[in-house]
Amino acid sequence: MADALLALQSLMSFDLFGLMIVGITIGMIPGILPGIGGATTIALTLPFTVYLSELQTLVLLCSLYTGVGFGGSITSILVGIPGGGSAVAVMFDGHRMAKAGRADHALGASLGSVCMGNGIGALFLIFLIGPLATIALKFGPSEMLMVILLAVLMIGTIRGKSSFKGILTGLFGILIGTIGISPHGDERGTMDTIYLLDGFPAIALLVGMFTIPGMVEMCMVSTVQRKVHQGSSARALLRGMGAPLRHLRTALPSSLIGLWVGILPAVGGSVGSLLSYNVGRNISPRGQHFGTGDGEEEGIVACETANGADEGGSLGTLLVLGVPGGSTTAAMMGALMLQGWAIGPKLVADHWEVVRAAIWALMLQAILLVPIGFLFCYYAWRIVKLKTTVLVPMVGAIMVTGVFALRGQPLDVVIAVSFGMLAWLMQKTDYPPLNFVIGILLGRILEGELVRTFATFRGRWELMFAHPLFDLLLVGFLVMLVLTIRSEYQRTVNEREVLESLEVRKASQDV
Amino acid sequence: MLARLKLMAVLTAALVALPGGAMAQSNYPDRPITIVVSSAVGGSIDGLARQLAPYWEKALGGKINVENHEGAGGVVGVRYFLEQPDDGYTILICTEAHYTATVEKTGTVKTSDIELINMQQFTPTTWYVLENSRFKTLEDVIKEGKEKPDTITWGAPPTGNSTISAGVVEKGWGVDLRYVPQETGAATDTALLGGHIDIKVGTAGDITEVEGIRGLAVASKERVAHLPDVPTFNEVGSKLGLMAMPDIGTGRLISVRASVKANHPEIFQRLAEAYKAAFNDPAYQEVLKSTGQANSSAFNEPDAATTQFRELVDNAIKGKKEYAVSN
Repeated sequence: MADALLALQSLMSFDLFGLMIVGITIGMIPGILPGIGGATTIALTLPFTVYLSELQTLVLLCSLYTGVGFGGSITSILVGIPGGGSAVAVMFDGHRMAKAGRADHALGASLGSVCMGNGIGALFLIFLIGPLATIALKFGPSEMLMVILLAVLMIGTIRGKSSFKGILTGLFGILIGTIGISPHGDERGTMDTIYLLDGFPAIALLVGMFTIPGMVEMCMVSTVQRKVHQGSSARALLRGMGAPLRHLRTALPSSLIGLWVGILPAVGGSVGSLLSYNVGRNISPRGQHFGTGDGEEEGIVACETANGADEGGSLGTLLVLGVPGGSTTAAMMGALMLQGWAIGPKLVADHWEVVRAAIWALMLQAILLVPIGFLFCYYAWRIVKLKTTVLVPMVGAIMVTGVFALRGQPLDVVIAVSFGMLAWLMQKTDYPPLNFVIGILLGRILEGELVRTFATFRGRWELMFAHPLFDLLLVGFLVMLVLTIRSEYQRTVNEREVLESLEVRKASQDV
Repeated sequence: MLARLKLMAVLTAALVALPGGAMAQSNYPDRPITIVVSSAVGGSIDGLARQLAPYWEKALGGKINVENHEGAGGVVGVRYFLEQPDDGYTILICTEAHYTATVEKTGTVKTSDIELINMQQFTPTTWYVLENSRFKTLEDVIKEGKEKPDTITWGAPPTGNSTISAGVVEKGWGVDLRYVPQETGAATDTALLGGHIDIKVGTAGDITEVEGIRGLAVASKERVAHLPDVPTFNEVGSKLGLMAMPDIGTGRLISVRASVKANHPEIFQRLAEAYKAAFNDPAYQEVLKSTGQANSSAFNEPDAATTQFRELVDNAIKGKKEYAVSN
């Protein structure tokens, strides 16, 4: 405890608090721009960090990370354009709520959930950083495969009228995701172009496929918000922020899932939020209503607490193992190297004082995000009241800028727009573009783990089942599979009944 | 009249431009220099560039910017660099694997397109096992691999040239191992630490400082100075009468386009001298030491470095063809 107090004391300085506020605020702006994620933001900040001390650098980068993470949710909710993979899930309910005139409430729910997730993530890091990271090492290829498969299950639940079309679209996404260099180092489907060696740029596709249909849809209405907003938005925001507390039964497991997926090296944030969203659907009594009608705040809680906790988890892996979990933590690693730190498993031991203080800083950031995010949302939610004649060109310009800024490749913009038009066609013909995007996001890592599992256990599968961790995850996967199939079947039956009763009513009216 | 005026204007411009051009060279550098890095922010060569830049700036008396052009295993960055003007204001920092990939994929890029200022780091391919591994020596691996084929797992990314060493052991030495392809070098470390693979095929110098891991063998002519207890593959192989292991490893190089050296030798000289001063700056040496790169970093004269680089790439391209590992 004295240890912890000491760490807190080292944080109680004006400049560190200033850096946190600056980091969170600045981070939200690129977070809002689709395509520009944490990695780009940190890369842009790198040159300035040489003027800062080690702790200052770490605190600034962590608060940028926090800001970017929440900023991504804002556009996802307000205009239905996720800025990156981890902001996809919050759109399901958040954007529906925004359209129904509850944008402020949805933003509040997202903010509250992210803060809570952040806090839980930091808390776990403070007390359990060592053992957690060591257990993460025990996750081999077969265990990782199961975790990713759990997130892939999400594909089965997103659909229009036909489950078959939904699953087919997901598989098509996975197929397109295989373009590039295979896990074995072979080129596949690149048509001998250098451009396709890394595959289609996933983030550019994602941004294009949500933006273009979104823009077309916005052209049909005068404002994003279909219903007129009632009452004070500050009160609605505050009420929204209470959402994770109202749904603790969803918030706590989701936070733990997010934290855990964050800890696993090389699994991005999109896995955590999709996985916990799907778990939430199955454990919540109102799960059936997630992502339907006017949206459920509990759906936002399910994915956003995971997103918040993911940050703590991936930082833990970076600091304890010296292994970056994603592109954002890789960029942070670069910043630490510039501070003269040797990256690797000895990092924590070498710089324990600074690392411990930075972890406590995460906790303070979760608290600071509440007022900063509140102020931000208080003004930002009004975007949904903007005339679409103003909003649509703005969104288009931001999309092109964001996609181009990501890698500086003009062709990326062409690809994003083309796939965007494809997505619009898909939507019209009842093939959900969302599944295509999830397929691309998860397909690549899914295949990598599949190849490694096969390479490790080919011809000696009994060794794989000898891992208790794998068996546990396999059982978990099978349970989730059965639950998902059951709930989807139930939904189909319900929908059919509603349709039939409508037809009966229509028939009786005709008579 | 108008035509004559135009001609005069052109002539005057030419007169002004000529000495101006010559002056620009003697004033080199009169504008910022760009280092093109062929990996993303946070990669090892990105760290090298950003740590080196301030010391090089000091020695050169000019500004140096670092730009990342990552993608396609380094091909994007190397190609971008080769498209920049050869006026000495663009420098490339890449790995030899990035350059090898560019030569292989494009078919038009050659090793003679660049001249090295230095191969700042060269680390021979090294095999690692966990401290408590059942393999005490490389002989143990050979013995068990022959008795129980296809059971010992090893990991490394499929791109790059470290897989060649395993290809030689498999095809040349007749030891049947099992390859588990990894995404990156860092992911390979994690897989070894978690016990998911038996052997990590990496390079001397990257995780040698890590507790719980020890080297098994290095693929170089002589033992590596900071790993005195780790034998070379050839020490072990010659005892058992096995074929020789070629010299393979990973290099991190600093280079300019070959035409810079050919057309502006004085600029090349200036860059190389300033680099040497920066490299030998005690403050920079201290940085190398604190980040665990001191053992693998060295200054070689540009000509020697260029020769070493060209051999390395040739060996890698040949080795990857002859000793491709089976999946």
